[in-house]
Amino acid sequence: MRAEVTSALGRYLLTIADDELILGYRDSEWTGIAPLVEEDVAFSSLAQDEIGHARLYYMLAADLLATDADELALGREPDDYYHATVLETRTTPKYDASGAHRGGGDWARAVARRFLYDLFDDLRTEALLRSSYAPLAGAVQKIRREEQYHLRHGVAWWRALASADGEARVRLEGALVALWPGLLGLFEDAPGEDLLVSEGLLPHRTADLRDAWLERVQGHCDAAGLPFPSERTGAGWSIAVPPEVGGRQGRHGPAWTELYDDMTMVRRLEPEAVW
Amino acid sequence: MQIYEVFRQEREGDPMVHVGNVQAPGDDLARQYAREVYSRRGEATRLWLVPRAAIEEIGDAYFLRPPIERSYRMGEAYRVTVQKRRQLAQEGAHES
Repeated sequence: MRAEVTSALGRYLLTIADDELILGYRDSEWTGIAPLVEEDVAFSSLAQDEIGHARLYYMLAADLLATDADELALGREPDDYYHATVLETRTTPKYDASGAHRGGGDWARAVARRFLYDLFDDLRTEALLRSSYAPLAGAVQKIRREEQYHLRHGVAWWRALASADGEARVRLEGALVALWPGLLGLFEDAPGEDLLVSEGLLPHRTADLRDAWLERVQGHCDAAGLPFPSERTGAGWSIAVPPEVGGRQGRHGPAWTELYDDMTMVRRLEPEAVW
Repeated sequence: MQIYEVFRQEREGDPMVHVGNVQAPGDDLARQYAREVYSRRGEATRLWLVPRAAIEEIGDAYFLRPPIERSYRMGEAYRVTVQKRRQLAQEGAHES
């Protein structure tokens, strides 16, 4: 592989790995406070799966970028992370000793983000099965087996909240509107995707997955009787809100500063420590 | 919200054994929860989920015990039965 292709592929893998790590980290914050104890176990397990997937992608990236997975996951500067910004926001209440955290947090938002992200990730991994880079195609095959359970979990909660009367449904509708620009930001290309496509390492760009995703999300909205935040126009889509981009270039919001500090705190204490 | 009783088979051919229960808002999530809680490390070849409401319980001791003492019918003190029991107990002791 030519040097520029290797570095573009490494960079692209970091985008996926960061998405999975950051969502896994945020969702793991529900451990202990999910709506019921069974869900606590299930949601924590899903979060752990995502971090496991991140590890696989980091290992692939580390081979290409001549470093190691831990260094990639926890040793970069904050603006060298490329996850979509929608994944970095907190959905749980942040503990406050005065008790001010009570009533904060939004389970509907956690459910909606997780499910709609999983629908995106399903399209992305499906495409990656056709990558000519065999280690990637092989890893993705394993990851997809686990993701099937995630989708089943997501659709069950999506339906449960949408069909509930009152607060659950109101919150789900609110979450959909609030998350929409950020979710559209998932489709921002990573630098070098054109090169990866022309080299056959990717079947198409991330942006090309958007219409298939909109189609699927609309199906789930219609089935649950939820208002869909975009409109179909002939062969295309009319998107009223601008997507929230920048994440794929390393530009993030204040939630990221907080998360980065928490996430890397232990490692920064003693970067050379061997665990 | 419903409670489902969970039965697990650990190896093909083994009996289904009651292992506990899960609470879930519906069948789909109950399946997920049972998988996470009772076969997280691949302990099961098969799980059964039974809504607790579907269980017909008999807990009436009066109904369950025969009203007339009939232990003479059970042959517990027959010489052959006693010998067989002793033999089985010994074999068990050898195995362990």
